[in-house]
Amino acid sequence: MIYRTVLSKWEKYLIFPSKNPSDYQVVGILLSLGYLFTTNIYFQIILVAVILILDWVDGAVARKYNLVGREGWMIDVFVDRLSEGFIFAAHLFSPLGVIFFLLYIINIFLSLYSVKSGKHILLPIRFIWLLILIVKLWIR
Amino acid sequence: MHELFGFAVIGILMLIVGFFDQKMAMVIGLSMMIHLAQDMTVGISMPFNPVDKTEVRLMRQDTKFRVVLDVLVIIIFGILWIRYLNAPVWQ
Repeated sequence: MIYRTVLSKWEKYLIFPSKNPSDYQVVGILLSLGYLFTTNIYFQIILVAVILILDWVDGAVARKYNLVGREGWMIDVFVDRLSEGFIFAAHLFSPLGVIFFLLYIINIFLSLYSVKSGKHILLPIRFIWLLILIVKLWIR
Repeated sequence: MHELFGFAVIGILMLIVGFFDQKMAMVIGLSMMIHLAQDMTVGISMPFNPVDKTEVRLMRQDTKFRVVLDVLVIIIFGILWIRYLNAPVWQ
């Protein structure tokens, strides 16, 4: 939340290669698919970081070019869940992976609740996972 | 169940099958997830059905583009099955 507030001040000065938020979302899904086949922790950190940046960029593009709307928000929420599904399926059979996979399933139900209630209540599990990967690398 | 709810069902199925055969759980679960993701991103979908029946469209409805994606999905399925059968895919 804090980093989004800080970044939102800068987004109007940025130049984006595409004016269509869907382009960034599709790249994010493809990178999440690529994560499934990645075993190197350095590549995993880079992929999750890029996926999170693309998640911010699609919102920034939508805000900059006045494309903000309910349908766009719904697409963003469901693309995020697709991305989480692929990332955490890759770690499904490690103890920590099972916990995060369960959090991902909880996030799906929170997404359904968010759409129904209009309140944005979701767990930032990809961001937490990125921090865990960095810590894992640090203590290795 | 071609919606986000379907993803939750697949996730639970993966966890259950994983107790008996982890590799099989990955092959079945990922194949289903990729199929759902393809269906939701390429077509016109209602991702939040039954909570909200708003139709969303992420990508353009272009036949050539859809064929390319279908081929890509078949290749990914192939890699998953080869991985399941223990063949060296990445060598």
